[in-house]
Amino acid sequence: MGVRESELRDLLGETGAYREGHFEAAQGQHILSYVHCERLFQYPALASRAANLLFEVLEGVDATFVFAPSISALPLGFELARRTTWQFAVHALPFTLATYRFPPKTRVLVVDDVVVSGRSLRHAREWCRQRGAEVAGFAVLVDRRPQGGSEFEGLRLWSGLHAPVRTFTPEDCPACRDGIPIEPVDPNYPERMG
Amino acid sequence: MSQDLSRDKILKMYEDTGAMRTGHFLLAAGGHTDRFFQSATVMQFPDSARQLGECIAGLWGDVSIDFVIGPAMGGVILAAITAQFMGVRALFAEKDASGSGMFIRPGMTVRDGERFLAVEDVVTTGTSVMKAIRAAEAAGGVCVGVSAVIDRNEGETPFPYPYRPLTSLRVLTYDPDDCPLCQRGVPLEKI
Repeated sequence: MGVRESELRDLLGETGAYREGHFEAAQGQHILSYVHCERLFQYPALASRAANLLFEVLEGVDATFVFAPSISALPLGFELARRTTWQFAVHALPFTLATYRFPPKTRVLVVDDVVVSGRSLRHAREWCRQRGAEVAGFAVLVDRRPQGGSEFEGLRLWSGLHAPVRTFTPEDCPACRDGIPIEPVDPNYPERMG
Repeated sequence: MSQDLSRDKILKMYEDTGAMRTGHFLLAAGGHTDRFFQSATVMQFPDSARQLGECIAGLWGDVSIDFVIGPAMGGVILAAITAQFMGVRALFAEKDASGSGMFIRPGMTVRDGERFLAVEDVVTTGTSVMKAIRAAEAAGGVCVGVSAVIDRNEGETPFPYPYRPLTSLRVLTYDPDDCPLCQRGVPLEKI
């Protein structure tokens, strides 16, 4: 693991944003670690440091706009945008209007805190396209896809840290076998956009 | 305070970025109005957004504050920037499953007795920022003040806490049954 990844892992670990345990994910799958970046982002100085670490890997990105599709990604998206001359959009008015159009030739970098299945990124890309912008790529702080890599659906994906999630069915779950109780994963969370 | 933003400068910031719209709008709270502020349009320019947050931080130099909270979506970035300038934590509250109140994600920290500032981009009735305040109070926090970029509330202060908006504006909100824009037949836009 490189210096950048290990610093990010420390930031996430020390703030409790990366937790190991026994959790139930969507579709009833069990997982043994969970990332919620708002635990890290509540400390502005650490959020800024995390954004710096991600910014350092954004080599060759050709964008004019940052779009953050979820509330938890707002601080990260904003911090990245302010290190550039890019504009910044959030999933709020007026951008949510069906009639909204991005300025001509807008190239968007979609910034999210975590990618797991990619549903949120896929939705954000479609959403930007429908409003006249081209998506130049994706930047995520933590890539939880099993294989990781620098690509998502034919576009470049930059990530600060690859921390793959391992999912188990309840029958195969080692934590269930050890009798560890399941911690709820913030059941209040509203669905992400889409 | 490193800078001061007059009302004219703030309004110009909203106007220049297209964040102040005129027409005939249905507000979330049910009233009609002829002017509407879309703060996300200002917030997309990080330098402008940071100026607003820095000014709000400057209004509270005399008060000890442990964290800043803002209601989603309008208050999230503003809370983050304000907190950054104050050197304290930034939290946000979002609508709960019932849609009538707000909650704070369990991951964010509120310790018993911590003193907080609540911020919002535009305050009309103050309902949304009050929900964020209630959520933080329920978690053990003590509200020591409220700030808004633009206060468009008419008349009395809508909060039982010290209230320091960056600027106040009289913008009339009409009862839907007695709206001159409706009477003139101006098409109503839902926002």
